[in-house]
Amino acid sequence: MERQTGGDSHVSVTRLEDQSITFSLKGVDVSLANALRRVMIADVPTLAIDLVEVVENSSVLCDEFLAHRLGLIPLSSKKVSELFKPYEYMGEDDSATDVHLELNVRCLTEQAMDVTSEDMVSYDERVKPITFQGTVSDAAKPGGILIVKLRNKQQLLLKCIARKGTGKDHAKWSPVATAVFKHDPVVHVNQELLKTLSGSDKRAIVESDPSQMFKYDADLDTISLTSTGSCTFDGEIVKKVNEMGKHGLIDIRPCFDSFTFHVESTGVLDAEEIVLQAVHILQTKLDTVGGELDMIESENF
Amino acid sequence: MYHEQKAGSGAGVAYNCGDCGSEVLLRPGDVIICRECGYRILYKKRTKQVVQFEAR
Repeated sequence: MERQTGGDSHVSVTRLEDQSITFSLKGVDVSLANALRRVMIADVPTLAIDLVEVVENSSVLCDEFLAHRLGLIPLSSKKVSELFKPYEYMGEDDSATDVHLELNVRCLTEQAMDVTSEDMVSYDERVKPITFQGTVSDAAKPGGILIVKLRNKQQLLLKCIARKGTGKDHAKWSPVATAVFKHDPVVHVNQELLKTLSGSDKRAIVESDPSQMFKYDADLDTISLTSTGSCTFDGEIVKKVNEMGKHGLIDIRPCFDSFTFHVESTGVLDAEEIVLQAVHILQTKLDTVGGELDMIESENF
Repeated sequence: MYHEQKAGSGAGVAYNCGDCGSEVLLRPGDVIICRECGYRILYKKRTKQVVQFEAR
């Protein structure tokens, strides 16, 4: 999947899953790449529990503790585009800002009982807690998120109000677990200098690299680049080359206009959706700044 | 308006014993002691009012 973004900039998606995306962004400044990363973390709106009404709580955790835990539970946020943030909505209709959820449990068994996010009842079927699906290789058990444990006869009756918000208000509204980018490496190998080395030296160079970017080809007696994706800019290979007295044989530098992004969703929105929305939000922000600058300019002249 | 207990009406305020959990009615000037087990730590009951918290 490749897309030309105007000018020399370029986006290509290398891996796409529901909850994670890896893509490369080329031909733009670091500031833009970082702006995109920050928008994904702090400006993409989601839903989270914001108010908790405690009717009954005889559990061992105090009301505030429970309210805080409930706030951190990720809620599926497909509906978020239809809702308003409470401080942006001036109308009377509560259903434009609020989604109600209820937690009503009582332990009737002798053993302690787990209260999880799966015990929550939502009044809107599109807004419900995200549950861990589990993957084949994962040792973790699938199931809801543990909120509290109840002993015999302890009871909880809580009414929760979920609202739209962004990560800059509180991290519970951030849709991403990981949103990182790194500079792609520019690798330069001096072929002339390489020819002066023995096969075992070349092998030693390949093995000295902890990010394993090179491989040694015994037939051609040469080293070749396998993948740059694992590059960590650790400098080990350059150190090794310098030790051998071959300064400048291999040079690895970060490229300043080519980045690899890796974004993992918390599950509230699809990873693809988060990136697309972030681009859209960034564009709106830039339009606002552009408009304001135009106004200042027209006032001054 | 909600009232915790009808204070001054003479009925007293209900507490829970910290040891046996039984209910103890106390009036002003009463000795703070459980009538069932003699334990001297009593706990105030939780309010029946709904309380609201910000989930932050």
